[in-house]
Amino acid sequence: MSLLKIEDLYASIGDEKILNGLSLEINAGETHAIMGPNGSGKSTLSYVLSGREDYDVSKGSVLLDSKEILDIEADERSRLGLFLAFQYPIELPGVTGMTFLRTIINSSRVAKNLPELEGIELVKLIREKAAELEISQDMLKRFVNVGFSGGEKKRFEILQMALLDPKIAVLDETDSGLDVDALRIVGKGVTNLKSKDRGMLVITHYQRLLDHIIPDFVHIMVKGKIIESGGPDLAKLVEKEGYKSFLNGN
Amino acid sequence: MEINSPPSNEVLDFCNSFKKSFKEHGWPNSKIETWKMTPLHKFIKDTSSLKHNSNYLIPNNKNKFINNIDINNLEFLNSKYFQKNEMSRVILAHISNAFEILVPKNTSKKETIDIKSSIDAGIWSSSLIIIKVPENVECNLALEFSLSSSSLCTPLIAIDVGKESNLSFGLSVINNSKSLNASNFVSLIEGNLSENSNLEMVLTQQGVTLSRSDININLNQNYSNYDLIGVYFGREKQHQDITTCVNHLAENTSSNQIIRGILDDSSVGVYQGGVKVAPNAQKTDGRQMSRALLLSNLAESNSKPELEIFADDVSCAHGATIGELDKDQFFYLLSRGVSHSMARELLIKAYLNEVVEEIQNDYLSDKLEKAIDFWLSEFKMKEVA
Amino acid sequence: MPIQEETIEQVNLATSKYKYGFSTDLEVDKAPKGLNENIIRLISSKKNEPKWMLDWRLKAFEIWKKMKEPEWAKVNYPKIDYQDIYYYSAPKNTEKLKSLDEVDPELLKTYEKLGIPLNEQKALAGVAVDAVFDSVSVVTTFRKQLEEKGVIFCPISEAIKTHPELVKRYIGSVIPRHDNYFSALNSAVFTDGSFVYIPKGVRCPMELSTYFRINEKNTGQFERTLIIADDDSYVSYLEGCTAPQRDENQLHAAVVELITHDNAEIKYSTVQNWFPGDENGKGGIFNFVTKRGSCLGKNSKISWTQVETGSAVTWKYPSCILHGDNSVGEFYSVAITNNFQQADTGTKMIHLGKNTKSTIISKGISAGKSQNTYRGKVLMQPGAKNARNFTQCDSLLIGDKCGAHTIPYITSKNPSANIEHEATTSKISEDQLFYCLSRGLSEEEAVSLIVNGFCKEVMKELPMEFSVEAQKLIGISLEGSVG
Repeated sequence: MSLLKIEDLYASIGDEKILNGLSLEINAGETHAIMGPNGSGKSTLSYVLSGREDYDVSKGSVLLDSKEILDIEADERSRLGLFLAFQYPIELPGVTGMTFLRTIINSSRVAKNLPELEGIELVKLIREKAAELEISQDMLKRFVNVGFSGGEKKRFEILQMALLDPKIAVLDETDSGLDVDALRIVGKGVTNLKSKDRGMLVITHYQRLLDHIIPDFVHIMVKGKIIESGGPDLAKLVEKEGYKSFLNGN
Repeated sequence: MEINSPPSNEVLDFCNSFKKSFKEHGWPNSKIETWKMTPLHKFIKDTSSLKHNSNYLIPNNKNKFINNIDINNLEFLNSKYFQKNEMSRVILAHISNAFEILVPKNTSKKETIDIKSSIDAGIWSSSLIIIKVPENVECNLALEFSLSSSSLCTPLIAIDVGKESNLSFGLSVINNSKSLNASNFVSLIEGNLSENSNLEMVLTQQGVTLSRSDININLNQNYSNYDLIGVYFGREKQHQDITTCVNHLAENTSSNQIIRGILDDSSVGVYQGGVKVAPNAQKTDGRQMSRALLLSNLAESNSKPELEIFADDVSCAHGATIGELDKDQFFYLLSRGVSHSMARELLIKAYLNEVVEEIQNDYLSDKLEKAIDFWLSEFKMKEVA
Repeated sequence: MPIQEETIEQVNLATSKYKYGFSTDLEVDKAPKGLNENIIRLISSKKNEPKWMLDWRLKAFEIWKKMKEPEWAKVNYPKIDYQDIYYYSAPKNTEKLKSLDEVDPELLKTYEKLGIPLNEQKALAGVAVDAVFDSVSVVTTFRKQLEEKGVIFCPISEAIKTHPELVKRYIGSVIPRHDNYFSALNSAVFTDGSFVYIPKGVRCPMELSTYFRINEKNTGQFERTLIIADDDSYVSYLEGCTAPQRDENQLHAAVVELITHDNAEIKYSTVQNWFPGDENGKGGIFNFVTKRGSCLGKNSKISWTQVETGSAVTWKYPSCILHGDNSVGEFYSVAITNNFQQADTGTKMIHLGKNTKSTIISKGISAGKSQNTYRGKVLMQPGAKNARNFTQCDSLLIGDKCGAHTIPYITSKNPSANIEHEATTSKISEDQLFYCLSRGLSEEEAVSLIVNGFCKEVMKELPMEFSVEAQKLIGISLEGSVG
């Protein structure tokens, strides 16, 4: 079952054309990886998918679970089941982790016509998921991402993903800024969230994350479109030979 | 328990001597530098129809601390601040109430005094209030002014904090009617701090058509310290003004002023903050940070954070920012499925709660949190409407 | 009160004198003291100005008469009697000194410290430069290069005659005559100044410096400068010089107007070191200048960089009005006061257009018994969508008898406009001083090094010609401040 279908997507920011005819389809239960050199448009893809304002889409379509989402606002896309783990998570001074998580959990539940969670049930759910990602209770009392290390920020992103239970999860360079231990925890956390009802899109520059989150399909993205697709071996090839050969091909 | 202490005949005579000066000069006009951004004549039009009255309520019955003001205790009015300030004559010429709050010396217990004043429609309440905290005392004091439409409230407050004492003072200005018409508040406050004393003040101004608090604090002796958290909320055509001046007059004194304004509709916010360091006030630490959040295209914010430094071994800094809700933060919340209005509410609340964290005194931080929640509930109702 | 040099008038101008009703028993031909319509007519006629210019001056005079001199809380100066000043003196042939030996040794010592080459020293001190040809030829080659590009750079008195359309179009467009007391006065009696016009698409090949402007000396009292950068052009203009400029004229009320069209840029740098007077502050200059830039065009940019030291009283606020969308205004300033000097300086950034940006970096250093005030204004008007301002004002105090003041006015009428303002006050720490001393630096050298570090962000904006001398200047200005 197709969960995400991107067809011939063209997007630009200001005068700069970044996505140039990108197409991709992710079915339920699949994990896809997109790799590409700097400037290939990887982050732009994740922002355009999640609905950030500054980008202009001139052509193409994106179907989330068969529903066109390009003309839908960011918050609605999330409620429809799309999750983006930011490469650079934003700080929210004054908003505690607990408050933030409670708000987003209940927003999602209301959208699914489920009753809101409160009190002990809510705290229990959050603590359980937090523990799996080695996030302390203390961290939840602090303001969201304020003073968090790179690893703490990424783990908090994955915690949100676990609590929101999305249909499609887009992970934007989740490994950037992570040390070996953090990478292991994040990798485990994401792998645990793989399911037959969920599709994942892992966007990365380096191969090492893909040792922890093993993809079913690997795509190479250069200058805003996918130029080659294959299995996990393709990633190993990139690691060995870099992006040079792919760039020359274009 | 209600206190209604009209001034004694002697005090009244003394105050009446200002009537002549008031007749001659009237209200402060906007040609005067410190009144430029708050033109009173636009808000306070005809006061002749207003009746003079004041009543104060002490909900927690601590009236044993309240006394009449003796004519011999008025030397504080000779201070440079009260002498020069153009509002002094206005307030004194129309005095309707005068009392003194005196906490007993050397109390080991922390006293909490709560005073509420409700100003009804058609009333002008002009009060002279002396707050004396003697040596070695800890005290919480909350003073709330609740205005109706078509009312005017002009208190003159003198605060004295004795050696080794701590005063946590909460001053709040709110409206007590749904319609926000012609309710005006203009206050003058001077505080004098002695050696090793602390004054923590939390000021909130909301709901009233015009609100101006003019505060002058003198750190007279070594190791005295002043913290101010000032929060103003503006809606519709309201005008919020917090004007402060902290004078560092001795060594090792410190001050920290944190101002946060939130302005919606076509409201206007003004912050004028001066920090003055005298030549002998070495090792002064003076800080000021003011932030204003504009929620609509018609709102306006004016800031003038001033530094006047005459000593060299000091550490003084001030910062001011004006802007709107951060776009990145907004998007982050949206991308988590939080609705537009919920995201706005969350970020506004976060913006205001940041200052709640800065308040040391639980009693005062609770009060501020309640004020924030109240304003937010009104704000949410308006958004829904 | 200031006395102007005696003027020697040529005989054939004698009749015109009488036309203006001067007293007949005047021995030498100079306009009497005071300011009235006749003096203005005299000034205009001496310069052979067209009627429209005279009318413009007269209107300014009418405006000035109705105005009141501004009073500034933080600056004290003896009241100026405007009727006790000579407003015009004919261009004089200054008697040149024969050699450097005749020059005030104090002045020479300063030139040496600043590393100014000998020939320049002579020129500055009024010594007849032998190799007159050299200086003339340098100037001639310079002018030729500019002419090739179509760049107009000449005294404004010349431009009024040779390019009247340009002057008429722009003069008073940024600083109208009624703007303030001193701009009205200047508009009525301005003597000379620079006129610069950079045509479309031209990048001015060299830095324009007032040093190279052929100009009459002693007419700097009421200078008027007008610089216009047409679409897609660029110019860097340097004003002043690091050598102490003596001038018997106590009052200086200059007006500088800058205009940039689409995609154009003007970089205006000032290093002003007026003679500060003696250690008691007597005899110093009063410097009241109105400088304003108008970024008319989209994507245009005006930056003001100044290092101010010396005058007894300084009152100047170079400003930018950001009309064009995406335009940028910058202000970098180092103001040093020592002894009894008083400086009240700052900037105004008025944001009108969308996405406009302004940066203000102000460093004030006070020593001795001086007072140093930063007064700034940042205004975001309702149309200033997504505008940005960043301001940093830092004060450094040396000694406990001086004062540093910061008075910023910040107003925003557009929620998407973002303003950030920071100010700090500090002193040179004992630790910093000791560290330098322990490396063999004298206390004065240490102070100079530390202060230069404090001012680094501003100094790096100065064109090369100035920056080296400016750094030395900082050291000299602070002599005697420590200890």
